[in-house]
Amino acid sequence: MATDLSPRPDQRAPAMVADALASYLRERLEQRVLDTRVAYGQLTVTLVPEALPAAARLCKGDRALGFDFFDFMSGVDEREEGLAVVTHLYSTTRRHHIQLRALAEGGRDRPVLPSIAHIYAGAVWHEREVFDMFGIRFEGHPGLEPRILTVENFEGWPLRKDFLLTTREAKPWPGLKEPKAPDAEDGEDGEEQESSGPTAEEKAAAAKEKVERAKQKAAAMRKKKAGERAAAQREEADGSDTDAEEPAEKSATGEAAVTPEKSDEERAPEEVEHDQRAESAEETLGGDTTGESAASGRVAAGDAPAQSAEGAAEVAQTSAAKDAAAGVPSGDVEKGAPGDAPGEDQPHPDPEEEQRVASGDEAAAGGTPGVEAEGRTGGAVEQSGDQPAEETPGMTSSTQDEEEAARGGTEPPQPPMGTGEETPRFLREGETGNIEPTTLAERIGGTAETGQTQAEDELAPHPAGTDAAERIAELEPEDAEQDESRSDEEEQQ
Amino acid sequence: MTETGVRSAQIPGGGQPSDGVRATDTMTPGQGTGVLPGPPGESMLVEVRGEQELSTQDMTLNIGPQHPATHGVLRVVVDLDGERITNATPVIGYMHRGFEKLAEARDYRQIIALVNRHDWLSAFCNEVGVALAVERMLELEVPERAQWIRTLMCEWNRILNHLMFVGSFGLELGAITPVFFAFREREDIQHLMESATGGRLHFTYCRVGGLKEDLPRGFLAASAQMVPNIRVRVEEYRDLLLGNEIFIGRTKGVGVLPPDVALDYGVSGPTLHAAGVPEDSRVTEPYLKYGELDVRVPIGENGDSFDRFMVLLDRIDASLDIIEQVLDHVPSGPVSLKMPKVVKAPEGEIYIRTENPLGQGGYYLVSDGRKTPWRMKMRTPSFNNVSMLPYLLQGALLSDMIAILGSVFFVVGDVDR
Repeated sequence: MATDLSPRPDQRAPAMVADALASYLRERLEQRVLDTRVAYGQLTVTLVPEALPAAARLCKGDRALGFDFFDFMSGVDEREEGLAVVTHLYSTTRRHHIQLRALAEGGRDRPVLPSIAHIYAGAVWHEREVFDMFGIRFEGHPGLEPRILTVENFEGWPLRKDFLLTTREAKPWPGLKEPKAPDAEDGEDGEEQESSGPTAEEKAAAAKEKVERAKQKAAAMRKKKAGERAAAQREEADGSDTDAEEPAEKSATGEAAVTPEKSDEERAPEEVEHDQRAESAEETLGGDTTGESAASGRVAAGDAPAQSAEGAAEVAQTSAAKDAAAGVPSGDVEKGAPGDAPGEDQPHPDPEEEQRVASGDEAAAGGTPGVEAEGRTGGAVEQSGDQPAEETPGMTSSTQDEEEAARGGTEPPQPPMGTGEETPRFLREGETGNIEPTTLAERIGGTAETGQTQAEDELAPHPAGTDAAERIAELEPEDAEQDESRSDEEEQQ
Repeated sequence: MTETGVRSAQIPGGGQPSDGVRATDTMTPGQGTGVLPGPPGESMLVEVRGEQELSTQDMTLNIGPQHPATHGVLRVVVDLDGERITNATPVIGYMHRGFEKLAEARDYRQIIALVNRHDWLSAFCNEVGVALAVERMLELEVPERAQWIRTLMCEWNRILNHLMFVGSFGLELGAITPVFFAFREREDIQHLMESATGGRLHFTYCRVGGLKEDLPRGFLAASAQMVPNIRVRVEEYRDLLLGNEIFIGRTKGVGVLPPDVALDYGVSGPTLHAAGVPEDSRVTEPYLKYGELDVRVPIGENGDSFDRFMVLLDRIDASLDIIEQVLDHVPSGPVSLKMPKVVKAPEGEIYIRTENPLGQGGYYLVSDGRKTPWRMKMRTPSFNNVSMLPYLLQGALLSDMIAILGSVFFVVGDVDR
């Protein structure tokens, strides 16, 4: 029945190497080939959009090419350039690959490309998927609707970069804070090493210093934000009269205009995310309401940084205290990672990261109380003896409510909005990137009703005084785990 | 019941008769030769006067999204002309979880946990794809031992996957024993893999630069011991199913897929091999250590459901052969490079394809040099395989649909991502 037949390479026509393929296509498609590039032995041919079907037909029909296997098609958001679509083909007879790439015409508002569904049957669904994810229409496709993966009444194009992950909107992902972004905390890394020395006075001093620093940072950020906002508004004012029907799309162009200054490598990704968030919020606001309400929105936005500067200070305070006590979260430091020189062929050995890991391990070796507390998160609750027993359960059970309350407390009165989701984006724009410590601090503050305030906790010289820090250390990994498991559940089914 | 010169015919599913067919006094009992109509939804006795051809009105039937024969939540809308499918439209997306978007918000070690989940039956093979893509971009030389162990795990995962389909395919065709047998073997293999990885389904054992940790002591010995056991049991499946007349009758010549159509749709894996195309990236573009091994690619002749099933069984044997070869090779040494905690792939794009149990899996990774990918396209075998279903189902009988769906091996999570 089924026979075994391992293919023999020598019986097949030889594969064309990437360069030969490139010149072969250039010969036949001439100036319709805009660019060829070879990366990791793989050829990508950029074509003018109209030439896509011709190229596909050539690839399939030409004997020397023989691309009989339709592999996949994928959209790529190419920032200012627009939206690109990459089609990957493979030849089972000759065993070479090619990627046909074309930028959709019509920019981000009405991106369109010719369909190749009549050439490769596999493209029918792939084009539907690209349409669903990027909103690129394929002319000549038998039927892009209904949307293939998302629900029918879904709005927006999920894989475009201006489409923000809503769960991350509501709550930054816990994973963001843990391998720290190289820029956001670069000044603090050094301090962590110092503060792994155990005296409480030093910790307190370090914490204060951090607060100062964070305040300065927040102020600088506020300034920068203001500048950007002004730019965005100008942009928006220019565009609003020309095209008011699709504000979400427009935000992309607005963003694109700012991107060059943003694409700076040193900036932390979450910071960029925040910027995008803030901008898109503004854009949508400006796009679908009158200038009046846009102005009120601006007022709200103006208020936000002042508050969030305090928030930032708080963040720094709590996280500093935590770091002081716990070194760094050393839970999942990979075996053998600290101190080892990275392999020479690794282009990105991150010295800061290495240092941080190393310091974390030192702390562990020294048996710092904070680290221990973090190591056994479960047991730590019982062991902090001077803490009233009834405090802990209350803390854990009501965390959700308190978080809500805390969030509500920091928010200015919301202007009436269409979708209601935009307002929180304003609030978070001025913050340093982590929302969780803020809420944690609120939590701690809220639960410390037994008399001992947070400040006392931190300044007390006795190791027991690091209660607050320990509590954060206990809380935080748990919190992160919860979040992770929750999001996993969501993803799984 | 019927008058002379009148044929009677059953119309399934209470379909409305049309043209040459006249229902005897439809819904009005007590008139002439009236026949009491059955309860709604049941068959109805109709008369055909004269010698006209029997024709029925088309009917649209929704199968799924919650149907036991559809492996998860695949919905197929079929247009029926009597028993024959005139048009079939798979409706997907019920399990869309936005993995590609989520991947853009995660760093690579987190993505490895993510890709475990879209095809939950081939978790390890998916992990390997991501790790290979990033390693290739970073030009990392992964330790030998890690590569051999990866190869080993890939093959165990492949058997794990295939056993599932061997069992479920029998189940769908009415044979309940194979699924019990298959799960017995699956349990053994899962225990084995769990001993090394700590996971039963979502192994998360790969890391960029190697593996999470070394194998536990005795793992290779246990592997070697298990190979002959599984081999004996696969023979049992052959006896159980392939000798069964009903099984043969329901699968032979059903859902014939020509090779050129398969390639056109990008169908891969056992479904493609059954059509006679031995395209398998373990052979054609070897990754990991497959280049140093003798990899047998079983192929079929007719491309029907029977061949697909045969190929699946043969692939289990072929994987067992590979495992035996690997066991002779695993060297000692480290299983992972010393990697920084946060890995950043350099700017650029890469496409890595691997032969996953269900077919060709691939990751198209576009990086802008940050710790998270700019774009991560997951090319999954199930998506392409399911996109081909309308071709196979068109013209098939409704009852054959089960045999076709069961033999075009796919996982709905892998389709929807």
